[in-house]
Amino acid sequence: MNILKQLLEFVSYRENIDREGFILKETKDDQKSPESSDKSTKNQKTKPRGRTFKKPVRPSDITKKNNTKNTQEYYETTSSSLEENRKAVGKLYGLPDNKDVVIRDFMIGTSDGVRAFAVFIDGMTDKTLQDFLFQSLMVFAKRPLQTGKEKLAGMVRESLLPANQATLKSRFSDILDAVNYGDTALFFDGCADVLLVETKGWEHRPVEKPTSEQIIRGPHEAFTETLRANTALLRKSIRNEQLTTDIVQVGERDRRYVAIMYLRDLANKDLVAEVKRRVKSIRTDSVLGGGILEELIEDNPYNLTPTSLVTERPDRVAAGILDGRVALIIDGSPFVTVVPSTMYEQLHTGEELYHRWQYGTFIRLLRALAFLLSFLLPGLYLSVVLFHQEMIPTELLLAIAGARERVPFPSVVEVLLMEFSFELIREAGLRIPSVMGTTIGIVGALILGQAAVQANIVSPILVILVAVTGLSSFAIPYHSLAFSLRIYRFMYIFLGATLGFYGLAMGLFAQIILTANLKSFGVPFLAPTGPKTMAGPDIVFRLPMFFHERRPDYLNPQDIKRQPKVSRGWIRQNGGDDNS
Amino acid sequence: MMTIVKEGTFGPAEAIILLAISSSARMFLTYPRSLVETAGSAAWLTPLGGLAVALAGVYVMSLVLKKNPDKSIVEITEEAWGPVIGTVFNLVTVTFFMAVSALFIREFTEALIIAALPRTPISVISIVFISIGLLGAYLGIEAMARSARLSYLYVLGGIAILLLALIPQWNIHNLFPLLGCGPLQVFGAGAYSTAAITEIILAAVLVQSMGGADKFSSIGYKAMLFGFGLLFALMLTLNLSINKEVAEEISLPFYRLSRSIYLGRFFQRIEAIFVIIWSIIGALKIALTLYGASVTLARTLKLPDYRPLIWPLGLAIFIFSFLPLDMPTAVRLDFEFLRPYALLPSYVIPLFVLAAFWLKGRGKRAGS
Amino acid sequence: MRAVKILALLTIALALLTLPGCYGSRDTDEIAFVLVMGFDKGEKDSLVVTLSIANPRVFAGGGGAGGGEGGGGENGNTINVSFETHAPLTIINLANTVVDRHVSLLHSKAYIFSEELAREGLAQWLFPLNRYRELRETSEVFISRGKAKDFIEKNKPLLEVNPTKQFELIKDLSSIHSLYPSVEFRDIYDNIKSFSTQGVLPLVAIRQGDFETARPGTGVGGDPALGKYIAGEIPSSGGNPAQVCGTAVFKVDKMVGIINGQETRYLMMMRGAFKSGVFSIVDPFDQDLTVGLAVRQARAPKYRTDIDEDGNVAVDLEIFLEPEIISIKSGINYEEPETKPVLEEAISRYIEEECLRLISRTQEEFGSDIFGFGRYVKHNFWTEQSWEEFDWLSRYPDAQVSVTVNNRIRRTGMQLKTTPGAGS
Repeated sequence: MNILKQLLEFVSYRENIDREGFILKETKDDQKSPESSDKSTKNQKTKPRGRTFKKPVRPSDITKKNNTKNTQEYYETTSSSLEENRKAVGKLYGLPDNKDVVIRDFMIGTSDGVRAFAVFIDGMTDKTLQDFLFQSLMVFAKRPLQTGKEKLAGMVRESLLPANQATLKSRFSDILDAVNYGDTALFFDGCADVLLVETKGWEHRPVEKPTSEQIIRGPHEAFTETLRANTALLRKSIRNEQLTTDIVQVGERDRRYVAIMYLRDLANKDLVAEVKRRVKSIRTDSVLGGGILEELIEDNPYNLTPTSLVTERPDRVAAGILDGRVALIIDGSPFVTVVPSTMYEQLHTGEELYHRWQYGTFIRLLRALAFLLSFLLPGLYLSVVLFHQEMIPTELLLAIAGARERVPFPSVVEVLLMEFSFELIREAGLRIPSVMGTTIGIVGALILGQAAVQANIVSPILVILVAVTGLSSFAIPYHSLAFSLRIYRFMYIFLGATLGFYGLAMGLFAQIILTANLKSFGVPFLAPTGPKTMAGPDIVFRLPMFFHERRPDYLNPQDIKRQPKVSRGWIRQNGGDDNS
Repeated sequence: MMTIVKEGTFGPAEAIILLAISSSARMFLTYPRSLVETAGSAAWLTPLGGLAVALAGVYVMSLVLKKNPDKSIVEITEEAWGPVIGTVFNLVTVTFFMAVSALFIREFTEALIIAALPRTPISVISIVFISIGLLGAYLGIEAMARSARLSYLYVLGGIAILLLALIPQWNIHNLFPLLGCGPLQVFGAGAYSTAAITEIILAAVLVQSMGGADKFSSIGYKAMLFGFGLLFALMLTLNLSINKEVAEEISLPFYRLSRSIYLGRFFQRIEAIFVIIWSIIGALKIALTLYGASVTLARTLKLPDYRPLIWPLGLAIFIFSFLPLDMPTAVRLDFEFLRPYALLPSYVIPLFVLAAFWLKGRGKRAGS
Repeated sequence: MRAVKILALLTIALALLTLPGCYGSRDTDEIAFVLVMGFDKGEKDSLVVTLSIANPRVFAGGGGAGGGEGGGGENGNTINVSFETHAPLTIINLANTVVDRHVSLLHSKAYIFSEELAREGLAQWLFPLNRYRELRETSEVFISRGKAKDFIEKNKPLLEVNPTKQFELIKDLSSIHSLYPSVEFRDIYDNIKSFSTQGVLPLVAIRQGDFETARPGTGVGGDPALGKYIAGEIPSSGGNPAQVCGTAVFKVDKMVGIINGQETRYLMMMRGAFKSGVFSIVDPFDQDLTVGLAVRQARAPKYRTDIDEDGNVAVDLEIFLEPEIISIKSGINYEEPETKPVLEEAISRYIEEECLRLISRTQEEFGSDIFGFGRYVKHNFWTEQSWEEFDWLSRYPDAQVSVTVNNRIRRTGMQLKTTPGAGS
């Protein structure tokens, strides 16, 4: 019987009970009818068609919404009762489930020992700093209390704590923000004010070399994920008291700090106001990094071309700020966004300035060529091979034709095949674990290049072409711009294959006119050539430093003059002592 | 009164380039051939007469525009001749722009089929042209002026390369006899033909975007010098490089010139590059005239925005462009209908408007 | 969201609409590129057209792609096909009955007409070639003595992989020795239409034997000129049997005569197109020997034209040459200030005589102004009408032409003094 049962078990179907152990159930929010959930986010504007794109909206359009209805509302401000506060903190942080929030009870070592507790998050704080903190409160605080308990926090701040930053707050939202950010909150019995002491000190990456924007000459520092470290890097680059760091909190669930940095006496006031207005108006769950913020504040999010500059090099940001631009630093992102940005600026690396001007100009011209090649070359090849065979010298044409004789695909398919393989190598090379990094080179070069040609899948000329296109694409310093050109390239392949040079010309015209129509924070994207403003010394050509007399005109900075007409005082007869 | 048409603004440099490039569009078509037919070996002299006429036209137009410096020619015409006749005059301008646009679409399309894409259906090329025209007109004059400013260096560079690369084929004897088909043909018919341009009236319509009536005459003069200079250079090269007897046979002289470039075994057969240049200029011209037509119509009808008009006008232009049965008809229409017609809005109506103001002024003085 | 979907659908529909544009495209492996076209008189129909089509597989380069392919030896790079038909461009379709690819004339570099055809008039064959878009006006035109078909088939440029390079180089070489003119299609087309100049075309031919065609030189009392031959008669042996030398003279579109390589040089000098060339003239002091000279044209010839009341035209023309001595057989010291003018004078006389002889030949024998004197005569007229009425081309045989040659020996090569051999 038992054997029979076992046999049956072998052949019969038995449902695995534990297979679907966890099912993500819909939460209450989701179960609501879609209209009602939409209402809260969309009632500010009645949209004609059901567009779901996020669009920047003016702050005036937004009726203040109350979707942040969480526990804070019940504990608006602190009370003077220590027990009450403790309960409130426990509730707010979801204690005791939340294990990394620490509440430390202690007595202040004054003669009439006051009860107090500290709240901080384990791992976000600097332990040594906190040791000092507790030492000074519990061990060294021997003086008697001069004031009543209600002023206790102020007194502690003024005379007991040697911490470098300490503020008094009484709103829980402020307190939680600070504690979430690594501060220690000190609650005192009988005092409604809470003392926030700066004890930030979490594990973070040190300042390292730039990884995506490497240069030869120039500082080899890159931003890190820490906001304060980044602002400090900029401070270090621009030693000027006019450098202003305005910090705005963006995001409603993940409340993140965004620092807006500019030179107070240089950046156009309207520009700064506009940047602040746009950043402050953002209502979203979380801004995890620069790219998200960028998209939320961009003028033309539908256009392929990026209209703000993102960089990981402090010196580039500093150069931008010194021109009168505004930098946006998002906490947790090692990239800084600089606005407004023009296309020419996106084709610069800043390194041209560190080189001598002739070398800088040469690099610029080379890059201009690379810019054109990176999106036009495959399209050009296709239109020549498919439509304008008369264009190339007979010898070259016959060489191309000869190489293609054994290839079984039409030219378009051949080009697309190679382009897609190249894009694959690119993407895979980025994602592949660095341990295996070298394999990608072998796979790319050997399999795709050599073997594809030998198997007559592609012609050798095309391999050269795709390689040159790829190199040109890598020669464009700004990753986003290179990305947009990668996509444009496929459009030009399509145009070149259908309409030849005419298609390319029409594509170019459309691209030019669409790009000329772009604006980056009110500055035409193709400035200073379209529209024509004063020609600068540093656009396509990089003129010698002593010609850089003015800042870019299109930024309308408060002070256009960068240096006097004669910046090299020593070339004057009288030795340049007077600069009249 | 409020400014009703939403337009961008651009600087004088862009305005000059935009107008000059727009006026050079005809160079790439069959037009130079017609000039050679008119003036023979002296075809290169014809732009001089045309330039004089065009400068006078700009002067007259600037006088008209100064009558009301805040308005464009559309409102001024209406002011001068009243709502009925003024509207009729303005509709003449609108139809003129549409005719230019339609004929240019047709001629550029035919030229492309002849030169570059012999096996592509005409509708495909036309549709692409009109859609690019619609895009340009939709994005507005500011974007067009900027893209003209951006592309003009490449265009001019291309033309300069073409003209200079032909130096080995220059033959000074082709310029003789010096007066070609006779002084009357050269300076009479030639001037009459070359002076028939779209840009004077276009500039007068766009005058508020270019910085007002004060800047009109200086922009106009410079654009005319620039545009006619280009035509002069091309005609001179054409006359120098190709025998008059052959030049008057060629359907697309500019293309033929670019085909003849032969500088050694490698640098030859570069005419396809020029296809890029002239189709960009063609698209710009089509977009500009479409824009001109819709803006003029919008102002005549006192509409707040010109954009809703682009689509119907574009469609009408597209259909008109297919009306000529064949390319020779289209070319003849260009030379025998469009050129005389161009004189109407550019030279005749402004004179009428001036006359109306003068009569009014006299009436006022007589009355007071 | 629905709008986006509809938009996407519309875009795809539009994209499909433009796809017919793709039909206009042709891959290189669907095209047969014609490199050279030859035209002969037909037997039953009016024309025999020979096409030389490139075989791209030969150009595939080394690589691993089966290099052992080129079975056709050195001539495997082209395939020649001929058709008898009535018009030059019928072959665009007719050729497809034999060749399995689209025939493209985009890269045809040379048109070769047979002499027989040219004597009957080329207008009806040349005019269609001007109109068709695939043909270029920069292509070279040649006249073949004998059949063009034979020339194309027997022409084996041993040094070139690509046969069109041969014709490009032939064009370049014209400026080195001026034994034949380099004439592009547009030149001959211009000349046919022109009221002031008549056309010429270079001659090509296949050599028949070795040295049978050789002519007597100075040593045996003949002409010292090295270019006294026309194509096909140059005594040579080995190598490519195809030869280019001499010029076919045209009156409007009809070939009326042939001038040899040497005369072509004088033609080029008077046209101002002479670049350089090696001349041999009889030594003024020793009639049996020659002096070798590398001659360059110093500057363009100077023309003076005059028309009297009766319409008689006088043309005075001055040619400026710069010879360089490259060989003196006799050992006479021509570097001396006393002897140098003698040599210079001899050069001038010799070239003047030859030029005048050529002019009188064109006036009497051909009646054709191949020098383009008309271009200068034209300067005397103000309008096209009066010039066309003047009818220069029919007046040319009566024109008075005088030629003056100025020359100065600038350099004497690697030697500054010549001494005779010790025994003499």
